[in-house]
Amino acid sequence: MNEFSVVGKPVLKVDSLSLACGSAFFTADFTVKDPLFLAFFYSPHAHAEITAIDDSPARAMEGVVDVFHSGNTSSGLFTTAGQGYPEPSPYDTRLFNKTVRYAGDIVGAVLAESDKTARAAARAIAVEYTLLLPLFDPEKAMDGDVPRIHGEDEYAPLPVAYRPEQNIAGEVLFSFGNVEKGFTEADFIEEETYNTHCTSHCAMEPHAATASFDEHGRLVIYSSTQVPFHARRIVSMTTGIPLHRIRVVKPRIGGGFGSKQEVILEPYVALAAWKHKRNVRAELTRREVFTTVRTRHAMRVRVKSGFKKDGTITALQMDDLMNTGAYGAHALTVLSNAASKVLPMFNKIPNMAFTGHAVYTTLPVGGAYRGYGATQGYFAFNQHVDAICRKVGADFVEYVKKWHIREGETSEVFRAIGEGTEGVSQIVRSCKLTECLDRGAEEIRWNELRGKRLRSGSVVKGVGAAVSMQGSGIAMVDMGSASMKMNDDGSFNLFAGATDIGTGSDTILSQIAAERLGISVEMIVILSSDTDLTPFDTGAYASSTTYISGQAVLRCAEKIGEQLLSTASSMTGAPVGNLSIGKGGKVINSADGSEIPFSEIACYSMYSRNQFQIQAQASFFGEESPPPFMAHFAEVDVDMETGRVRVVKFVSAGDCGQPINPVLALGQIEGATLNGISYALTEQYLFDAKGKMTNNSFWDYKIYGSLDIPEVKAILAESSEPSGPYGAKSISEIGINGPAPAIANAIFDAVGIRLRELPMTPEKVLAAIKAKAGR
Amino acid sequence: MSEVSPAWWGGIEMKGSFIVNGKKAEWSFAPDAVLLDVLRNNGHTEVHRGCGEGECGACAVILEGRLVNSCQVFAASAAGQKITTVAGIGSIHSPHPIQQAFVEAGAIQCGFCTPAMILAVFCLLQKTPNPTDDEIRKALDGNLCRCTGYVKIFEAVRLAARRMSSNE
Amino acid sequence: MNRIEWYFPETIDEAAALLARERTVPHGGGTGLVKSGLSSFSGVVDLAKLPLNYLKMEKGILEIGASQTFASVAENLSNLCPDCILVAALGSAASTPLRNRITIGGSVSFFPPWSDLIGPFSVLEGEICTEGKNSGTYDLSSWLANRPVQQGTLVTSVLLPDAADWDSCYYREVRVGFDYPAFTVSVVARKNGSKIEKVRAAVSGGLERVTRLSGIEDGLNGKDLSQLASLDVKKMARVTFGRKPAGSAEYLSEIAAVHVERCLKSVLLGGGELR
Repeated sequence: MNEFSVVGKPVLKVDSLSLACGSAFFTADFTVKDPLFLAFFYSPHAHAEITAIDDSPARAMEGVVDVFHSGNTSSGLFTTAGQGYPEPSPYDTRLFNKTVRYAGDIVGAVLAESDKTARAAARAIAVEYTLLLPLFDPEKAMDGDVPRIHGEDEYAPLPVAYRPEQNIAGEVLFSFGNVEKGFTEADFIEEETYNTHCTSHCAMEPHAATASFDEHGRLVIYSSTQVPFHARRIVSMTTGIPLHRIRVVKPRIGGGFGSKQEVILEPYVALAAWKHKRNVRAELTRREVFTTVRTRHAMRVRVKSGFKKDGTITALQMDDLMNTGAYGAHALTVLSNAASKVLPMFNKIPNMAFTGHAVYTTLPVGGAYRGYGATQGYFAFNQHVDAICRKVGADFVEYVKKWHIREGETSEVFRAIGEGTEGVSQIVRSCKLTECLDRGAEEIRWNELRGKRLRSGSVVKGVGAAVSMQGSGIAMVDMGSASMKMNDDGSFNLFAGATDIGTGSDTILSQIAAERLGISVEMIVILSSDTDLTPFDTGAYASSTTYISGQAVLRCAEKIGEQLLSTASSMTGAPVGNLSIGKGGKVINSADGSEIPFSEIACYSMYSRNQFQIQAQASFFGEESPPPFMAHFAEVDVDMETGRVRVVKFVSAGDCGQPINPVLALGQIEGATLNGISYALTEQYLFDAKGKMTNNSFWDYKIYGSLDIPEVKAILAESSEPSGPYGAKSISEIGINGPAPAIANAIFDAVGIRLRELPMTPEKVLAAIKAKAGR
Repeated sequence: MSEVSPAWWGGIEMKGSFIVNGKKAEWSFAPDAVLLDVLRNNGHTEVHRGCGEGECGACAVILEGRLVNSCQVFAASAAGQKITTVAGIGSIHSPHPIQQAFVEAGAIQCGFCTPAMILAVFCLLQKTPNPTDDEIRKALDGNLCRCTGYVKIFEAVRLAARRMSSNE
Repeated sequence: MNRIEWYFPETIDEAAALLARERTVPHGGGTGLVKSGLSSFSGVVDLAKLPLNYLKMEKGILEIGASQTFASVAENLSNLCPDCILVAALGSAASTPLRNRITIGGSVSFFPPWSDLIGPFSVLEGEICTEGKNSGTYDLSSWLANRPVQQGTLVTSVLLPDAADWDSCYYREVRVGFDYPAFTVSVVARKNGSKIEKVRAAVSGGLERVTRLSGIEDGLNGKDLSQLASLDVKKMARVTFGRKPAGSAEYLSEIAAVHVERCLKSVLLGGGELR
């Protein structure tokens, strides 16, 4: 085992005391002088052309300053997706579209002296529409005779497949070998179709943004964002405000999970502020968050495999249809991940084919959501594997242990499928999935419970498992950078572009720097995610922060280390070769054992002779995306009379390489697990016949609370990833991939029914139980 | 009727006095304003708005000794009463054992639910210094958290309970 | 802005007089008015200072002042009469901070389809006492049947004349723990050895706000416990529902009946209701 001083230790999260005491600021907590408030008005129709907007009733109201809409404000096409430029998502939306494409689409915005006035004025605006035919069924989207939702000037900035004339927002095609031939070599063929649903992230903090002016008249935007640098760029692009006149600051964020990897509010507050030269605030209500912000994409996954009696898979074919909703943000990339993060798991399959389409519908917009396509793909994959095991009489755990990708191995899929650009070939260098499976199986009491169907009254018990892998950043695309400077007392300021959205990246990046320099985290003062003060980082997504931003910090700290040694050498005359970084903030001379404290080095460098500021910067981008691995286990009780599924215990055993902070890593797993459980069982979007969401509040959109939690056990199986900072890989997304398939497999274990559609509500479970019993 | 109303008209708005974290303040508000907005508009941004409908608990404060969702309380009906926010039980310079326990147990990720959650724990431990897991579950039943899965929140409550009862 | 007066009366007579005014509404502290808003009112009568925050239990007669919150009722009864069905029902309604605001008076005035009070109130055959306009004492069915009687009246208390010495079972159908119930099942019974002295059962949340299962009650009152096995409870407990987000009408009807059977078995034969 590695011996680290700070890395791998449960260092207290650097911002938690301020959060516990209420001294930390979230976006809506900042006061700006004399603010105006922006509130939106939305389309009630799923598909319509706006023919007239009469904003005079609003303008006549006292306190209303302005009204923005397609009648008076034009913008170019762009994507709201927070991704690297040029984005792999189509440019298919404007700030104010003349065609509205789902019930909840933004029509306009009112600027007023108070939030209350802005909202009242928004309700007073009369909009006339010509109704167009809606399209709600993604299975029909590519047919010839259905409404076309896009296809005027919309385009994809990258050379990717984009065919809006067929309602296709993205397409992924991949194959190797010959699946048809593979099917002929099989003893059995198994084919099923799975359907996942759209859900909301439910970050506790609703989206908010404030645009204000500093003393020089530059625009300063505080935003609840996962992507401050992308936000700055997109604000400039959509509003025409010069980028160098914009500063984006990310304060504390109340959760994102992908919902804030989207540039939604910032362009509007910037536009309004810039026009009126007034400070502007916008804060979405929870109801607006449900419909205006993005969702998890609903996906249909059809899996067909051919396999031999001994379980060897001869061919695997997957056909995905992803409902991207009204706009194509993240359409191609989520679809890509449903393949690229799933198919490599069984890398010995000789024949594989994947077809995937992301299609437009007149429904709320899919976007980035923890798991990012892998979640949907693994719901299908893990049940399919469970079915194969049942057919050939194999144990799921032993089967996966036999077939999963291993250290030293690769998969064709890595090279073939990227995220809008080509994929990147890689060899898996760290993988402890077998250990995850063994430890998880033991913890859930797999052997005692599997297949036993222990019964108590009408309740039957079952256990099920699932496995998943994710990535660590997007190879050759995601970049992070950091800079550091030294202070008199031997402490350092660390400036990182990386975006802490509650995940604790400020803490783990400080730990990495502290480890490299042999000091405690208290001597690292971190400031992150300010486009004026910190260097660039793509932002908090793709599980990139630990691996990519972490490497940037490590390299930066290494350069600092070199400067410390060379300065110490100048101070003492000792050759650099005899000097090394010690523990506790000192440089050690191996020749005579003498120590030079950091503080002395700092003061020497700043004040004494040949003065210079000890400072460094470094950037890093990943040449590979080493996957974390996880095994997920569910113990469920199924009530045969009511269909109620209770998760009794859930075990998530994961390999994230060297956990930089085990408490934070476990926290990510625990949170993702619970989110995944309510995703599987209780969360859903309900729509009326006109495509309007009817349950846009926590009243009827149900997530798990303290009364619902099963026993959750998170386990870390440590490996060491050679390309990761101190051996680390990512951890924050993968936990959410397992619960839905593990629970589904556990339900099958208990009552012999396979649920292929989410959510697995009691009514659906009961109907399936009855259908099996022939009732 | 009483001569001294807790809240009264003061021009175009109502006025009322509130005792927040031990300090008396006189604030103006609309007759239909809720306590959450009045608190936030008057500097108490540690009280958070998560849903505005009483469904998430992020806005919870202690009103006359009871945990309530401040978005579901009319300011007028809370006038003249004692209100405690998380800033009233401890500060960054001198945190309350519950705040400290949350930090040490790793029970805080994004922290948005945290102030209200800590107040819920405060109320629980006042009434039940050594709560069972079921009692913890129930006391926190109105406080949603999407980040932690509640696991370390429960550990923090147990830690705080142990420490606070051993100090007595 | 719409000028809305807030009043803080200290006597019931004052409050009743204020409520007789037009567009003047009572507020006990609950969430109903916050949700519906004040825009259609010109006056709000805050009931906090009225002497309505009490709970008395004497010889099995339970009187609860209208300003008692769900939390207070559950707490007080868990000391006075821990087996009372109201402890389970009111103690699990909504959430902790909401139970600290929802009042008996407010709940009785609104009696929404998701009420956790209405089922127990029905099986305990409670009465609603009001002052001011339409003052009087109402049983549940006449209260529910006559909505206009509730306008402008001040609910002062509820009376449950026979609230103690019951075995009880309460079930609420929820999707997650913090949820409004799609339906509730309330069963109370008194046994004497193996004889069922009295049993009452009700399902709330159906198309009729609350339904007493009189067929089942008639089939069991005064009979031996063994009689339970001979009743087709699942069929007799069927209540008609509308579709809800929690499930279709048919599903809710079916599982409500399942839970009625479970509650009856739990109360009459022992053993807990499965969660």
